Amino acid sequence: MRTGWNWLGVLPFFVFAVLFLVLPTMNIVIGAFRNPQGEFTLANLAGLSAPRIVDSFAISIRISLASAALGCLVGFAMAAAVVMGGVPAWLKAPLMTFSGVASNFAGVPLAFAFIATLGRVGLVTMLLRQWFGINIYAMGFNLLSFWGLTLTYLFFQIPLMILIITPALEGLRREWREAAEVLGASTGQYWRMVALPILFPSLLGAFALLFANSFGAVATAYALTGSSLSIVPIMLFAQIRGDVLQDPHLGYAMAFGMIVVTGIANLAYVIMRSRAERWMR
Amino acid sequence: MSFLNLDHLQKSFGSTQVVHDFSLSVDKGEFISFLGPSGCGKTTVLRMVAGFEEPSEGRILIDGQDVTRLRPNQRQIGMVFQAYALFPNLNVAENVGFGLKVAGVPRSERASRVAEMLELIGLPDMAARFPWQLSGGQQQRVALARALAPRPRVLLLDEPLSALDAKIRVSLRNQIREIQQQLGITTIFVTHDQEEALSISDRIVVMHRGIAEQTGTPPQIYNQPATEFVAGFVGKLNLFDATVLDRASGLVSLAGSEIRLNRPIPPGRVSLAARPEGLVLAETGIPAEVTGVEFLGSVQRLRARVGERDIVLDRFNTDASLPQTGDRLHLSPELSRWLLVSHEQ
Ligand SMILES: Nc1ncnc2c1ncn2[C@@H]1O[C@H](COP(=O)(O)OP(=O)(O)O)[C@@H](O)[C@H]1O
Ligand SMILES: [Mg+2]
Repeated sequence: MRTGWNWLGVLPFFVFAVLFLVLPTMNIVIGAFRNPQGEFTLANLAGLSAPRIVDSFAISIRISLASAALGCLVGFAMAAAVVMGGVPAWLKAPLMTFSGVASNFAGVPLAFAFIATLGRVGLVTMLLRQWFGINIYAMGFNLLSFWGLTLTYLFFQIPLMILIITPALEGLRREWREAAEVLGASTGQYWRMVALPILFPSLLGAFALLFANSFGAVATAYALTGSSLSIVPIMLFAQIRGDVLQDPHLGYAMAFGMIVVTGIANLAYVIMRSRAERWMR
Repeated sequence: MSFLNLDHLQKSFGSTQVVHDFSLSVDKGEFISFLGPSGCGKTTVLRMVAGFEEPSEGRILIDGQDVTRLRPNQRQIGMVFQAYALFPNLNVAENVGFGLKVAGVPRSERASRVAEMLELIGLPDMAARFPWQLSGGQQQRVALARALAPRPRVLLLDEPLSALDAKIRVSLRNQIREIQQQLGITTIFVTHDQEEALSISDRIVVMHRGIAEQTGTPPQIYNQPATEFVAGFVGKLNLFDATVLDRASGLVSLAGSEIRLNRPIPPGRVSLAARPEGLVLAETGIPAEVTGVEFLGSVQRLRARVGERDIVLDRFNTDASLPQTGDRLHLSPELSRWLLVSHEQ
């Protein structure tokens, strides 16, 4: 029989997916529609409309959009400089290694690194004040704020962007650029008419990934801001630890809300990608 | 005055010089092939003409204009690459119209020129296809149309057929030649395939180690190769160990037979040589022992040993029975097609 034991090879994958993806998700979704007594209810979802929680979703989405957009922009520019030869070739290997490390450098260590440099008494803050007379906090900067958190997130968003977009940039064939050039196109025309449309699906995917990455980044935010900036993961964390509202089922509802946001982001990505790839298979 | 002038071009990458003192004058409408083994500098010369490489020395003139320092997008040149150079995100019509679009040609004019080009390459129904939906041969025809659409002054083709199947290669090379003649466009065609170069060129430049070894029409290159390299690279060549009897009158002796070349033998080291189809069997003459026989349909190919040398002899197929391995035959010395090739220093 040809239908023998092939399925055995993918068994570990399915076991993994069920244990770590499907079951927890089911648990969250079911929990979101139950009260502590285990009865069906919509009260948890209704609880999401509380101003605190709506605000926390709004600011999370804004921070995620901002850090994803800036991360994409800066990371793309840096990767392009390296791949297109604007930067010496020997810099490439160290940059990629650094990106690999830095894109994983999230959580508590990153938060403390930032507090130690750009915090109210951080090294860079102090140096700027004493050497140049620039008081960034007096100018409205606050590390424990929207832009503070966005800036911190960029520290792993930019390297992540460099890591995922470099292969796509390397996939641009030299012949495409040269063919465009010899046909009379300027560098700008080449990018607008050829390179960016070809890269668009990859850029879109990178943006979605960066968005999800910062939307779910709880540890950095928590260590950095404590409770001074209520983004969703922090509120959720509080719910689960039980120190604010002490309602684990509201926590389920919030997690469900995060799943929905991430799901919508992914859906938007899939739709736009299939449009951008109309010229492919 | 010729249309395209390459004037003492040189190119070095770092400390290695890959093009040495390359000069060539191409007439308007002429089809020139650069022929040579891989790595001899063909692409480098072509890329200097296109403007992708800057010559270390020398000048490039198109129609009297010095373009040596112009960027590729200022030169009005059409170029076809080896493969996969179509823009994958644009369909066939958009690819062909690309050069017109960046030049600001209005949409309606562009559309009619694109249609004209697709007609020219014989793919009028493919306008809406994307590159991945085309065969390799179709892609190269579209690449040709794209290069020709903006009416370039010079067309450059860098081994445009080398990634294709043998059968398509032959039909496409003939189509390229037809289109080139129809438009009368000055063309440089790079290839490492001698048959390709011989079959479609007005003139061939045989290149070897960054040097133009010989420039001439296909018959000149084949029948009067200037150097041993040209003789050996273009077509098959048999070399013989002959002894010079008289340089001035061109008298040599080979395995006991005298051969009259009826022209003076140039100074320096030269070899007596002949093409496989230039050798003729005779009743008497230079002794040869058959070492192998191949029947190739229209041609019989004999392998034989003459003195210390292995040679190949081709003759048209006839009803006469094939010689057998081990047969002792004779080559005629009365031949007008003996070649003299000089050795490289
Ligand atoms: N950009 C470059 N840098 C260094 N060496 C090069 C470069 N381009 C070509 N070469 C070298 O120049 C020589 C000629 O190359 P090329 O012109 O591509 O040969 P061909 O087209 O005849 O095969 C080769 O030895 C190749 O390695
Ligand atoms: Mg080449």
